[in-house]
Amino acid sequence: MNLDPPKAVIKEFGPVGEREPTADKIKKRETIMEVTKNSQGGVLVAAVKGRVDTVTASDFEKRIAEIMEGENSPLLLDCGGLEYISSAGLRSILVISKELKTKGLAVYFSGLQGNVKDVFNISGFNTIFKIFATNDDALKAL
Amino acid sequence: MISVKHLAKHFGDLIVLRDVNLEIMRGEVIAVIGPSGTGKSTLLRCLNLLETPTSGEIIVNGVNLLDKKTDVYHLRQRMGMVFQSFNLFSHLMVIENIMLGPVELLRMPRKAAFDEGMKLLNMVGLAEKAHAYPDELSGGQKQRVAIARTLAMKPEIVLFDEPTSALDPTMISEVLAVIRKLAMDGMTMMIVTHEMKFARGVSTRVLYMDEGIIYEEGTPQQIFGRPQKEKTRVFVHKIRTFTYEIRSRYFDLYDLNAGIEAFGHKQFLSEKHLLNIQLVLEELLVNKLIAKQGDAVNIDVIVGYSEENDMIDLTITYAGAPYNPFADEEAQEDVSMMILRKLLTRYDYLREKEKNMLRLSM
Repeated sequence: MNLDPPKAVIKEFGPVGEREPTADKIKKRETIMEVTKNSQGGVLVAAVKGRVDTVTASDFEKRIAEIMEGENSPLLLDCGGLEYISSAGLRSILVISKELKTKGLAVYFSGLQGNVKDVFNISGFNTIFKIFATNDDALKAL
Repeated sequence: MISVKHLAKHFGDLIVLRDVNLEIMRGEVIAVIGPSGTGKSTLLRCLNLLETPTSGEIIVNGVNLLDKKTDVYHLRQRMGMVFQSFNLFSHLMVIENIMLGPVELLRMPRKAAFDEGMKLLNMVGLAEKAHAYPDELSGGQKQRVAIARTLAMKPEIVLFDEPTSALDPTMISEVLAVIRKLAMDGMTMMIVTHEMKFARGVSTRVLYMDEGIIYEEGTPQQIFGRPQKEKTRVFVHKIRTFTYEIRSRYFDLYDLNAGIEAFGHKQFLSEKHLLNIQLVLEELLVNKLIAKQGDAVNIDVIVGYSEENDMIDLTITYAGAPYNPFADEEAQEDVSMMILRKLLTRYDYLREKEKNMLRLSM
């Protein structure tokens, strides 16, 4: 019998010990949508994680409104942890953008990937808004 | 190699196996599928006498297993078994679990058993965990250790009783990869499984069990592609589809999403596919159909996966006045419609028996 380890196991899952335990993965799934505030270099950064869909879109808007309260700087939405967005999420983004416009400010995006990037492209949001590949690129430019 | 003739197993008045006849040849990988309660695990457990058959014969390499004069323990050593619940000894380290059988039953010297055990652990990708205890391992790791333990006894055939059913979906692939490798190495195996794509990909023969017998058997292509008997057809169709009923405008979207995720994992669909199915259904159901339903919502969703052409088919049936969202001129430019048209390769509308039907593909 060939006792070499199956390449599928090593390639797909990495050496033993590097995989995260089940409990952490379960905890991650339970966080449906989370927004964390961070200011860097005079730019207000909001890191969005999880899903912005029909269920979470209004909470997303409220959370961004809380973050923007009293702030007078551009908003960078760090979407590196955003797994999913639907048209409900896009509508919320339009509401946020409109609100910032009244103050002469704009919203920017970074870290789009996967489903989220596809939805931005399909909807044309990639032509309406300025999108950066990474947070660093965004902070250098803004 | 193994010949089963008129095998029956009753539990009191309950007849689980009625008349099972089967030949297992060396090198075969036999997948056993079927609905719950049809005797799949019982058949496996009868083969190595974890269950005592009520009647019938089991001949292993010319020796009748059920003959009172047969050295059952010796014969059993040649049949390895991997259980759904791993069954590792929690008080022994991983390497000790693997060494136990060879040392105690095969009288192998400890050093030789250790060396062989480490080779097997390396093969299943767990050499680093040799001195860990089972409680320190994930489910997938435990099952891989269980497989290594079984192989340490150098069995002629390995029986797998739903080896991945107790595992988190994220761990199933690692165990199936090891089983796939054993198949490539020529190990004779009989696997009771609900992982249909795996059964189709790795087995040389598929047994569909129902009514206490092997209801239908054939190659994977025959059973999954052209099942001949009605119950087989119904079963194969069912595992390839996911159905969901919506009867309220406030339905639980995440319950639907969870069902899609579970279905998709069984079909080994990619994360991207799963998210796209969820997106199409959210856009269509929430933004288009439910709004038109009024107070009485009546929508049925069927998601199907066709392996032949790697396509996902969605059939959505909904009550109410005739309405085709894709022909709704007012809605053509809205974001939902843009997303739907881009993700779908087909969107056909029918009106049948007072119901609307959308047939979509992606």
